[in-house]
Amino acid sequence: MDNIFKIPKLALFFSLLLLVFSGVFSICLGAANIPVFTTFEFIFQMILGDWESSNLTDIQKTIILEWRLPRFFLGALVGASLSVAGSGFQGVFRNPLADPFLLGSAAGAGLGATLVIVSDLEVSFFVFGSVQLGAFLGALVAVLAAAIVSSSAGRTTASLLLSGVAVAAFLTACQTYVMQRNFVSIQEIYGWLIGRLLTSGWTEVGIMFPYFLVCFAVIYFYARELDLLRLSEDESKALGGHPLQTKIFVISCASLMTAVAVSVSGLIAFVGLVVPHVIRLAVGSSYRIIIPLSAIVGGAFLSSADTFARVIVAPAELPIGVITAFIGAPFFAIILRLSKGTI
Amino acid sequence: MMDIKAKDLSVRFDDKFVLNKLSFTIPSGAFVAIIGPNGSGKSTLLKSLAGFVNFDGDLFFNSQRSRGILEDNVALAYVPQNLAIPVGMTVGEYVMLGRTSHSNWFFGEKKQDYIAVEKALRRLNLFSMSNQLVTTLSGGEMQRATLARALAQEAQFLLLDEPTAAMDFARVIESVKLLDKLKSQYKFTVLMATHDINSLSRYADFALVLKEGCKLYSGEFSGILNEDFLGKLYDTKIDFFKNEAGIPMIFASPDSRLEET
Repeated sequence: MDNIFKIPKLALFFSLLLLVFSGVFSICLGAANIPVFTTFEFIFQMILGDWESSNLTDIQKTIILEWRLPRFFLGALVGASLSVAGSGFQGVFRNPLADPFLLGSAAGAGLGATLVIVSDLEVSFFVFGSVQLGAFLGALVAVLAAAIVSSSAGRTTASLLLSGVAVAAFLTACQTYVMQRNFVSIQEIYGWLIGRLLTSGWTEVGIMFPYFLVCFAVIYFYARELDLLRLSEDESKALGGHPLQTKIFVISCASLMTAVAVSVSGLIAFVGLVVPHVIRLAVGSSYRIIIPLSAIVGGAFLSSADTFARVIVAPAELPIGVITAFIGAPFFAIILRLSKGTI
Repeated sequence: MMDIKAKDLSVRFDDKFVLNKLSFTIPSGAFVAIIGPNGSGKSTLLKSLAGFVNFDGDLFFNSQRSRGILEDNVALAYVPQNLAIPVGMTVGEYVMLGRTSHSNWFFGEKKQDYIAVEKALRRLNLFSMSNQLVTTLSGGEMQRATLARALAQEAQFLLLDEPTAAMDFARVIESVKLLDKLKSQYKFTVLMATHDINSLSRYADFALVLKEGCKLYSGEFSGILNEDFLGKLYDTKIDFFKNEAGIPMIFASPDSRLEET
């Protein structure tokens, strides 16, 4: 009985290795292939501050620094955000089916962003742009609506799922209606919705990183509370937990993370549901393990999926959601078959 | 050691009184049985003493006014009627949750937490199962796991809501006996909502009897062991026996209420 609630070192090592490999793939593969070894060499030289002595051409350097590297970081941040938000939702709602989208936050973010795009609203708050602000508020309202409907219906697993479905359906209907009424903006909205990582250098990474850092820190801070919530709320209180506070902070941060991720990537399904479960099945069921490992593995998974999406039908691109589900679903099915009642 | 004293303790849900002006004193270190028909307010009483439910009236611990055991930062172990058995959690992790308020929030469990958990697991013969999932435990083993968690927590109060409801009659006696033994060893106060008057009659030393939210009795457990009182409490005819050792046994009579239906 040692190391209860601690991340096994081997699991941490392999997850980090996975992230490094996905980074290397992401940087080397694409319309212009860059040799792996030279890439490594360049990155080491870059870290050492020695820019000039690289064997890479200037074009290759530009591709790496201005295009592939920011895209890798953005993919990793989106994947990490969705996975951490998914584990947060699963913990708070004590429901293995909960993910950032099932509770209606994606539909809410979609409607929020659509309304902002349609109305040409230009509001900014701190580093929030107007579309992000709309997406965030939409996501938060959707999750709260689902939670309120479900709580007055008895707070069972089934009522939560059904109220999430109802809220999502309603908001999607509103969003479709608004979109249809505004032909001029339809392309912009659709482009936002289908989900792809479009970067213009480091800007999106810079916007997203602080959100991720703060939300991740808050959710990770509540990991112990989420473990207590796996018991009943009253037991959690008796053991020193704060269920209400936990719910408020984790739902807010998970919604914010989801909204920010969705605002730079559109709707990417499956990551937030599957990654926490893979960790749960492969490593352990404590949220102190699931949350940090989800961030690493989710980042690796999404950035790899993005690389595939760029490479498979190059020079065109597939939506990442297609890849995440196409690879993720069968992989998850295999893990599920091996789980033997631990989920 | 802490006495509990309640004065006019009431709980209302909407306009209905679930607990109606209860006044009683529970001596520290007692094994208290909270008894009453279904819906009499037993669970709500446990929850309001714990501080999970808001109540009107006054509650005192050692003459200090309180809003529930939790509010006074006193370690309290609570086992609800429908125990949530977390999927994927090992017995060791389950008992370690008892150390939550003892261990460091940022740096996690220290050596003394592991020592406390190991001691609790050994005391309840669960140490060999510490890596087993709680979902694979039998009802009796699961109950021992909750008791181990309470020991690891160093709880001064054990609030148990019908813990023996789903056990066979041999396990019921075993678990009540174990509880009594642990109580004498660790000096905590046990408050147990239960229907199992027969199994408790040898172990509980204090009874608190509720009917429709009102207090019918509080005092020595032996005081409730008579046909008239229990007949009135449960609105039924009671058959009352004593076995060879003089231990009372109580049954709802099969003849009861037949005339009415």
